[in-house]
Amino acid sequence: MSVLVVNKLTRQYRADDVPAVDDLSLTVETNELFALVGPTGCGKTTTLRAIAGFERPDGGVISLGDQVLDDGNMHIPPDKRDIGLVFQELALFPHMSVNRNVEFGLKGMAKGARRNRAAEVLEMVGMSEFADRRPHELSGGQQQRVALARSIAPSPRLLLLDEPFSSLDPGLRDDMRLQIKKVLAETGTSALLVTHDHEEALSMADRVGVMRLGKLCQVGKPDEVYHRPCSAFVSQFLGRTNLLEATAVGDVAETSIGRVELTSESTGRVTVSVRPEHLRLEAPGNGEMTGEVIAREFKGHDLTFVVRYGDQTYTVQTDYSCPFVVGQSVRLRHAEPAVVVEEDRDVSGADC
Amino acid sequence: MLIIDASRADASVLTDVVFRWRNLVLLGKTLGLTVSVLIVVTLLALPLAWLTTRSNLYAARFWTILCVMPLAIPGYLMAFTLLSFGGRFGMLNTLFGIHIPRIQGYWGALIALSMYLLPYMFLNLRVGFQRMDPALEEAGRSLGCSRSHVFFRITLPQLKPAFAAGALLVTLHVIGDLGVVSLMRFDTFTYSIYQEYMGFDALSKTYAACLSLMLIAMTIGLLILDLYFLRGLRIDSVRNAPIRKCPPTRHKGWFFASFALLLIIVLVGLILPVLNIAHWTWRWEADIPDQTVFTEVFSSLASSLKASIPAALFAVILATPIAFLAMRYPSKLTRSCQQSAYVGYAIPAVAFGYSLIVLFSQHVNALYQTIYLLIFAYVIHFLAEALGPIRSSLFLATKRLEDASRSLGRSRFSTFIHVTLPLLRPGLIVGMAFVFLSAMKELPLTLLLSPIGYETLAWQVWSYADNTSYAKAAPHALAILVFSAGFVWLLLMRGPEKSR
Repeated sequence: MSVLVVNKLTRQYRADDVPAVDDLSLTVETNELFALVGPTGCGKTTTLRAIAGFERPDGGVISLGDQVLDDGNMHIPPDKRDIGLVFQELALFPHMSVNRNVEFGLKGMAKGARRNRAAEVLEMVGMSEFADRRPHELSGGQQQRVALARSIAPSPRLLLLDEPFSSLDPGLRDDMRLQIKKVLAETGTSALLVTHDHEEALSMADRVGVMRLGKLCQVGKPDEVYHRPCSAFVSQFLGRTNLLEATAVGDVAETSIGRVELTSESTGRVTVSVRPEHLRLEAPGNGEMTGEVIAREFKGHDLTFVVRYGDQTYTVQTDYSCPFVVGQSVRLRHAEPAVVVEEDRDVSGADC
Repeated sequence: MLIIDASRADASVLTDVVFRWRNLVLLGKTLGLTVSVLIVVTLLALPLAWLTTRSNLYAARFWTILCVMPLAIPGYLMAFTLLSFGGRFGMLNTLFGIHIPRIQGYWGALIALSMYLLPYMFLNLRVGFQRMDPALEEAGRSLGCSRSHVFFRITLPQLKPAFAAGALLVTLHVIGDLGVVSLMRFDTFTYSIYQEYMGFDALSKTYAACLSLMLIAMTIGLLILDLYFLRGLRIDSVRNAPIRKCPPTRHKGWFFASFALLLIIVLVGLILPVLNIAHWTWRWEADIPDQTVFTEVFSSLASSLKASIPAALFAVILATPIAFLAMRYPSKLTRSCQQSAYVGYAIPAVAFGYSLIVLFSQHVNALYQTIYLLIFAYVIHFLAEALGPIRSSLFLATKRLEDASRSLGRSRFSTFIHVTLPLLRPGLIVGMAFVFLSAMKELPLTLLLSPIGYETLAWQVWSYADNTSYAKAAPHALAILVFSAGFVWLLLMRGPEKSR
């Protein structure tokens, strides 16, 4: 069952501008973590703020459960929405202790119940012993936990997370991701995560929606979206890829690195996406067309090669044992079928 | 409003008034005093700022506080001190039998104003030194420049904005000052406006209006000049890393010179006035065995409070929405609202007060010569002092925090009461205190606008000192000193941000 339904949401800041959010529809299912991912300025934060009630949509309907939050005439104010929000800046109240921050959203409860609930959520995020501290006496990761505890304390029907890890050190991020997943699962909370970090979206979410220029390009499970991107933009945004010009006939296509299989049937001039880890390097056989290794990056657990093939270069991801060195002749072989992707119009610089 | 008053005169009289030889003399004297105060203040403040930020001066923090303390002594108290120090009946002669001439006129005004205004320049230059990226100086040294070369080619140019800010404050205070120049009998625009206003014939009022207009024009010209000077001046270092603290420079040979400088400043700017006021208060006992002076001090204290407390309240009530709107809903309108508060602060109090007199005596006669007009004048004139602290606490009470409160189920009203107001409270209190303490020691507006028979502490000090009744002025001065010290204490608690 869907918790949140957003239907044809539009938000336009100025009449003559392109809309910040353009006819966007999505749903968040019960107990699901949905990640909205896209480059800076793609409209994902505007979408989140509209769902929270801080932006008034210019069109479309937002509903939570069986309650309509926004349509053309109606606008439920943020405090009546029962939606929690973890801010990018955390926004802990500096003049209150950790405990009072967490209790802040529990005003309808009796005093004893309020205290118990605050203790319970602080326990859940492992911050019980810091309950009497002030926010500025905590480290970044601890503040993050308090912000999470504060927003789940009133048991909101939906939790919104606005780039919640951007202020943390990379080392802390992995830890916090696990923690948030755990808390969401324990409390059975549905959540919408907004981020520009594709790894964060892919690793945390049950489903991912990729946004660009105010529109939702593709929605699906993380591996689906990663392996079957619908457009060149999606394939490039979610990781490194090689985009190849190809001529397709049925489920195979001729490309500059030879004949490749396709995941779906197609005909004529197409663009295909081949992930670097789907390519292999081999020693060339006789009379075959060869490329040359022009760069080799050693990263410990794996290797990244850049290979020139004709007048184009390709990125290849291999395991640590691949023996080739810079200058050697190699042959490229694809290990998985390639994906036909749509060319994006107006790609040039517009997506930042 | 002044224009209306001025234009009532006939054209020939007007040209006569505007192009009088005397105006040129006044302009020359005003500018001459301004420039000389500026030079003296800069020559003193620059080494002091360097010593307290960059050298291995012992107890630098202590000396810094001492150098800021003269702010607690308003110009007219400083003038009172100098006047009652020398001369035949001066403190120096009566206590030690040393006879020096009375310090007055140009030199008196110069010393009094320089001492009073020194902290403004000092605080600004200090901030300038502290914000400087030491890597730039080190780069200069590594490129083969000597230490003095680096100081003149790299350090001084970087101090320009800090100097400009300090110089603007000093200049505005000098051309707006009435207390010092009137006690020292040195004719400037403000003193002439006051004299003409006190004169009785009709023409002198017109002349006062014209002089006020010229003074306002001068101030606006100065503000424009300041904008022009700062435009295109970019000196911040091109990196975002936090600025290191500069390692202190050792200055063994200059130990005694710098110590003497500090000592002179503290002696003239702080110890002397306090001693002097104490001396005369004590002398009052001996000279005038008349108990009424105590009751007089209390009644003028009450008068001062009656105007200052409402002024402080209204200033904060007015400043809060202005600051809030300018920060949350930045638009041309809200910003210009805020800017006009600063212009009200910059316009010399004498010209401002006189324009209120003209306006109210002719159009809103019911309020003319009432305490309400005085309170109104205080509020408008000191609004900027309340804006500063409120603005900086608004930076803490961000929109995000309000959003967070709303998303936790609190209404707009509950959010304001539980989140915004508690965060704003320190700013409101400090803003209120600033306006209160400034209004307590304010002189020109009080002289011009207070109702007949309404005598505040500042008014009493000034009029007794003006009549050379130093002993009678002293207890009032002592009371003002207490309030002023409170003002400076607040300033120090809040650090140097206010002087920016």
